[in-house]
Formats: sequence, structure tokens, C-alpha cells
Amino acid sequence: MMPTKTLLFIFVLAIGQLLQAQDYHVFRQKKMYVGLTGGINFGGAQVVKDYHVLVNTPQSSATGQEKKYASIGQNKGSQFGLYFSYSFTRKLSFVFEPSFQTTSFNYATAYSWSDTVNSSDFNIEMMHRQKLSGVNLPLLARYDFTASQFSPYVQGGIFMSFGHHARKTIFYDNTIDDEVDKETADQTGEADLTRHMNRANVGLSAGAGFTWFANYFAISLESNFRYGFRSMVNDRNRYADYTGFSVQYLDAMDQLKLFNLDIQLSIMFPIDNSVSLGILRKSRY
Amino acid sequence: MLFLGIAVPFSGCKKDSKPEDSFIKIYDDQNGNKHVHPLGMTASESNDGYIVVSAYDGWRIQVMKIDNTGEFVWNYELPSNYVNAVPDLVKMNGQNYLVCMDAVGLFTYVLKIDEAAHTTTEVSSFSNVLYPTAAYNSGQTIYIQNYDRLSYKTGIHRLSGDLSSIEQSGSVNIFTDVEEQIVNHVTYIGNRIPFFVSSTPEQDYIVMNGFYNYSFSLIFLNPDLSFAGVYNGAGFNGGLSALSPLGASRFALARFSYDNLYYNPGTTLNPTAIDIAESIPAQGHSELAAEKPVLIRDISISGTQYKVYLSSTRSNQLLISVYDPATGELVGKKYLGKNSPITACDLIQTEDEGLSILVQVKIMGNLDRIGLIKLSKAEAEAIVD
Repeated sequence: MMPTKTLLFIFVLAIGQLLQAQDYHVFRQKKMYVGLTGGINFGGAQVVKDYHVLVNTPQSSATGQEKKYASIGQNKGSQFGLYFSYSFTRKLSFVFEPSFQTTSFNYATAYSWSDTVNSSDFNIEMMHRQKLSGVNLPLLARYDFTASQFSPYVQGGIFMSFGHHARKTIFYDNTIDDEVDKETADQTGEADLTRHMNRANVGLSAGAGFTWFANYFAISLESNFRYGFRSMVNDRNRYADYTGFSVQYLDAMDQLKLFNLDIQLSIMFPIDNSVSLGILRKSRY
Repeated sequence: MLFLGIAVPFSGCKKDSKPEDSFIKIYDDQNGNKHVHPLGMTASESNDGYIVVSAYDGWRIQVMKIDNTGEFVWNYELPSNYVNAVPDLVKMNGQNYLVCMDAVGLFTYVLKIDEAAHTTTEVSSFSNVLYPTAAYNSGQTIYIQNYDRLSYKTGIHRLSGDLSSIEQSGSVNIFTDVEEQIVNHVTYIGNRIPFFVSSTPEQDYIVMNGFYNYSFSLIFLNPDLSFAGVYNGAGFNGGLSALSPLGASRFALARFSYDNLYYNPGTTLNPTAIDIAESIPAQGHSELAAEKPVLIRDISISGTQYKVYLSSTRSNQLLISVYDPATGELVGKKYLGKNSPITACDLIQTEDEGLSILVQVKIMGNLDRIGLIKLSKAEAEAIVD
């Protein structure tokens, strides 16, 4: 809740300043900025190939064993890091935002067996939560639509990420209703998933945002979408069962590509050799 | 370019084994009352997968085919008159056969597994061979072991080349009541009995594990199936669990004594001796479950032949132990399984030099299902590394 309130406050502040200060333009050419950035993200997974421990036979339940992946809004994470940019012209700059990021993706499985002798069918529905953390290194080209104090922009480029740690928890109950309440369901311990994941990823990133420039600093609010090209589950270790969940919870991870939508706030400071750090100039026109 | 330069080293390196060479598969059945006991597996006729024979609902029989990646192809539940398949599948002239029993007459059938029709066809039946307990292909001849409840004998029968008739039979006397043990064995009540038939590489002796006199014993027979010697068990509480010949009267074996299991990967046995099994020197392995199957196989890893033991631990894992057959030295071992009980049922080496392990898996704490664990060539090599 706190990040949302903070973002709203900054947004209102920026709009207020925008309305008061349109008569300045920003002196940005050949200027470098450094700063801090942080925010929230929503992860998602695209299945490249599905895998199962439990193999269907003609004697299997009619209900499928497909994994149901949670929508992007249900997979929350966060990131924080540094901000570097260098402006080649008044509107074109390169941005490098190394950050430490946590992200997640969830999927659900359900199985049932009928016990006709004891009239006590056995059902289990499981929500598998994977949390990944690592370093994200996006290198972006940024184009500002204006050189004014309030400047909307778009940016795009490539990123690399390096996984540091991955964890997995399974929440489960005995009712198949497409819902596992994490508050009331039983859960496993948190298992180390790191060796089941590929460490490195590379992909494309694109986003948009706006920056409000003050005399000695600037604040940006932006959103970026990232799509990783590499398959992120380690094929060689898929069945190695480092988590201990493979047989007990009939779990083999699908091969996945990960994507991510972030919303982040950045505060930047200009770096300049001149005595004055002021970056605002009175508009001539 | 800098990014790509960093990325390339992480993009994977070539290894001998492909990811699909290693897997765990469990074969589903929605019937929560069904308990499946995998018995044995063998390569399919065209080497495009495996044939797995299992028991279910006690002594009923199911045949299943899976492909080389462990995916299900077909299964067939045999009619209810065919029961009590012996664990040993027999391959002859490229065809797979199973030996089982008639549910009413208790006599023996030989069935051919028809992979094209996804069924079995009856090759022969032997009305005088009651309670089949083991089958064996020496490479030249097929043998069937049985318990004859009418004459109180353990019998062994050599079949003709077309499996249609018995060429020669032999038997040894039993002077104690084993009916309860046999019935419990064939109906899967309590522990299974490790019956087996084998032969020396020189083909000068047939060796079988069965009831003899007052105990469960290791019996040596001459090529004409006459009695040669015996290592008597300790009643029903001690004897051989598994045996694999090395040649020149040397054997790799596992023996049990009550609930303890002992290995000796290279010992000399005298085929004409009258001795006791518990006198065979062997190393105890207190972590292993003596009542569960022990398998000893000749496996080639990195071009070197090893004796590989597969057994189940008391904590429901599997233990693979690899021994140098020349020295009897343990060169590597590997535990398989976590959290869920798994029991060893069969072990074969695959064409890609990996290992396929047939297991019984207890899922959700209750449901006994067929499982297959495939280790890649690289994983097999890692055991001895």
C-alpha cells in the first residue's frame, strides 16, 4: 500500500509543478544523471513446453492435469537500484538502470482419485508459488517528447538479468474449486528452487513515463515491459527434485519464458563540472 | 556487444546427455482403490520403448507400453483368468513373453506380448506346472520354476525352443508346509518371496532360489536338472535375495537374515556343497529394507562393466551401489527419492547407456502406482565418478 501512496503523492506533486513551471526548458544536452530507482513489478510466464510427473493413461481422471498459470496481476514483486543516463541531444539519451529485482509467477494444479470402496474420494488442489530474485541490467535508448520541465518519454532497448536465488512454496487444500486461499491452506516449507532455474536471461525492454525536472534534481515515473528470450527452467535438472516436491506433489515445471511489467519511480541528479548545477533555463520562446 | 559477450558463456554447454534422457514418470490411474505392483520391464520389440508388467488388485496382470521418453503408449489389463505373472519377462527371438497362472486351475501359461495388437496371445499352457514362481532365459533356453502343491516339490522345467512344450523337468522335495507363504506371495499379501532362476556363465549349473527341505534355499542343479548342491536358508527367515553369476563359481549376491540385508559382490560358492546361506560372508547394510526386492545387474558405465545393486532403504529411498566385479570394491553409490515412498522393482540399462529403474511409488500417502526413473548416461557416469 505504501508504494502506491508514495507514487500518487509524487504524481500529484509533479502535476502541480508542471502547471506552475511551463516557462522553463531543460538544459540536458551532453549531461549525465545519476540517481536511485525503485518500484513494483508484475511477473508472468509463457509456456514453451509443458511437462508432467503424473502421466495420463486411459484410466486417468477425465479432468485434465494442465497447469493453470496465474494472470500477471497476481504475481507481484519489487525492484530497486541505480539510475544512470547520458543525454546526447536535448531529447535523446541512453539510460542504464541496474537493479535488484524480485519477481514471481504462480500456477495451480489439481488431482482427484475416486475411492469407491470407502466412498471417500481424494482431491488435492495446489498453488505453486515461485519467487525469483536477481540483478537486472537494462540498457535503453530514451526519447523525450519535449525539452520542457515536464517531459513525457518513451524508451526501449535490451536487458540482461542474472538470477541470484529462487524459492518455491506449495499451498494446497482438498477442495477443487480453482481457488487456494493462502491464509487457510496448508503449505510446504520454502524450498530452494535455484538449481532448477537458468541463471541468465536476455531480452527486450520497452516502456514509457514522464520526468519532472527541478533545478537540482529530476523525478521520473515510468513503466516498462520486459520479455526474456531465454527459456528459464533448467531442462537438465527438471526431474532432479532438489525441492523434494516432484513425487510428493507431482510437480515438474514447464519450460517457460518470463515477462515482466514494472512501475517505478526514479530520482536523478545531474552531474556537471560547472560551478552551477542548475539545469533549468528560461525559455526564449 | 558487451551484453552478448556476457550472455554467451551462460547459454549452455554441450554435454553427452540430452535433457530428455533424464526423468521421473508416474502412471496415473484414477481408481483410488487400485494398488499396482510393478514386476518387471524390458525393451520393446522394436526398441522404441519399454514393456512393463505389473500386478494389480492382488494378482491380476497389466501390461503397459511406454516410449523412450517415458510417455504412455498403451496398456492392457489381462482377462481375469490370467493371474500371478512372474516378475521375469522373457525375451526370445525379439519377442517378449510373460509367464503367469490360471486363476482356477493354478497351472502355468506362457503368453506372448503382442505389441501391434496391444494385447497378449496364449502360446502354451502347462497343466502339470502349478504355481509358477520364476522364469529365466539363459540365452539358450527358457526355464520356469514352480511350486507343486500336489507333490510338495519345487520344480524347474526347461522349455522347448518354441515354448510349446517341456523338454526336461527336475524337482527338489519340500518337507514343510509352504502353502501359506506361496498363497501370500501370489496374492500380494505381506512380503513377496525372492524366487529366481539363474545359471553359471559356463552353463554347467542351473541355480535357483526356492523352497527345499525345510527352508528357503539356494539350490544348484546339474544341466540335466538333477540336484547338485544347496545353501540352505534359515527356515523362511534367511536366504538369498538376489544373485548374479560372475563365472568360475564366483557370484555377486545379496542375502537376508530376518530384517537385515547383506551384500557380497564377489564370493565363491561351491555348487556341490551342502551348506547354509548364512555362512556366506557378506557386508551388512542396516539402512536397507530386507523384505523389498534386491536387483543385481551387469551394467556398462563408460565402457567398464560393473555389478550394480539396486535396493530400497528403510526410509523408502532407493540405493544404487556400483561394484567392481573383479575386486568387489564399491566404486560409487547414489540415493534416489525424497519424501514419498518408492520401492525398487526392476533395473535395466538403456540403449543410450542410461539406467531405467522401475519403481512402485506411493503417491498422496496411499496410492501405489507404477513409476519410472530414468538416469541419463551422464548421471550414471557421475555415480562412479
